[in-house]
Amino acid sequence: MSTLTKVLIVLLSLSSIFLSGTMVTFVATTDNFKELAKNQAEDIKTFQDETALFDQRYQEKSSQTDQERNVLLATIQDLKIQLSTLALAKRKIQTDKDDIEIRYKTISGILTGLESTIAIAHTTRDLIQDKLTKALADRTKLLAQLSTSEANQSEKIVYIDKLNANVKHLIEQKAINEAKIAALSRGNPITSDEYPVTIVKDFAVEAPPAPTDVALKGVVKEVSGKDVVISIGSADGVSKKTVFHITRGDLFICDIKISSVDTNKSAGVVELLLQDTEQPKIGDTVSNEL
Amino acid sequence: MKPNKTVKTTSDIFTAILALSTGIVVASAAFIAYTCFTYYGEIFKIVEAPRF
Repeated sequence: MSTLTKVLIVLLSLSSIFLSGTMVTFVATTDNFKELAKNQAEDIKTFQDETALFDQRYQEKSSQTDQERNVLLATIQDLKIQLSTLALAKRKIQTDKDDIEIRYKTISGILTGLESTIAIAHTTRDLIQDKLTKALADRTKLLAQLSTSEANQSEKIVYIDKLNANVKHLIEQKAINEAKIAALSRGNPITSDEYPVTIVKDFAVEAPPAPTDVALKGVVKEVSGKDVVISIGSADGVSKKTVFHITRGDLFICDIKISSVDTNKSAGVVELLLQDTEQPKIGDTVSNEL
Repeated sequence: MKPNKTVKTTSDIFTAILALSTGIVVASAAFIAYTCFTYYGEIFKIVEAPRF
């Protein structure tokens, strides 16, 4: 065997071993393309099915979305109409609110004026009340003066009546005396014993004043502010500055000090008012002793 | 007449190398053939891609 043959054998062997190893390595590490293609085909089919399903769902969703969009558009239209209606109502309410505010301001002004008027009226009422109280006191005094004047007038009328009766009595006496003189002048004896028909009465004598230590008791006849009129007067022994106690049952109301006395009634001013809630009223008992 | 010449069998290291190389080539071919048949069901035919 020549050397060349040996070299060729070695080279052939080495190359064949190298190529065989390369081929085996390539075949062992390469993929199964048929299987890969099959898997990819299945994946593609799956994707196509899913795409069709998604398309169908897309169509359904699209139609549903269109319907909802139409409904929403209709709702939006209704809402626009309602919005315009509400805007009109709001404008009307705003107008009403403005009117009410104007009325409120007007009424506030009127109320302020009324409050001023009421304050003035209260002041006027107080003044009138004071004047009325003074007028009542004056009236009571005038009534007392009137009673006194009436009593004086009655006394004068009685005195005049007595004077008239006296004159009449004198005239009658004169006529009788003239008749007697005529009879005597004719020489006839006086047979009749005539007397004047008219009888002259004596003047009325003023009754002595009632004793002051006697218990006086009457009732309230009239109440006006702090002025009280009671049912007993000078004929019962009441005099000025006499203090009477006003009671209602067992309840003490107040004291009054007599300021004006008439024949059958008196007037006084309230003093020592213990309870503000209980004022003297008509019918309460009046006494100078408790 | 030619002298009787003795034929000697060549059995040396190179023969062993050749035998080893041949065995490796044959084993590689068998492995490749088995793998191709296992993957594609064919040995010498080029498999076409599936149509979709």
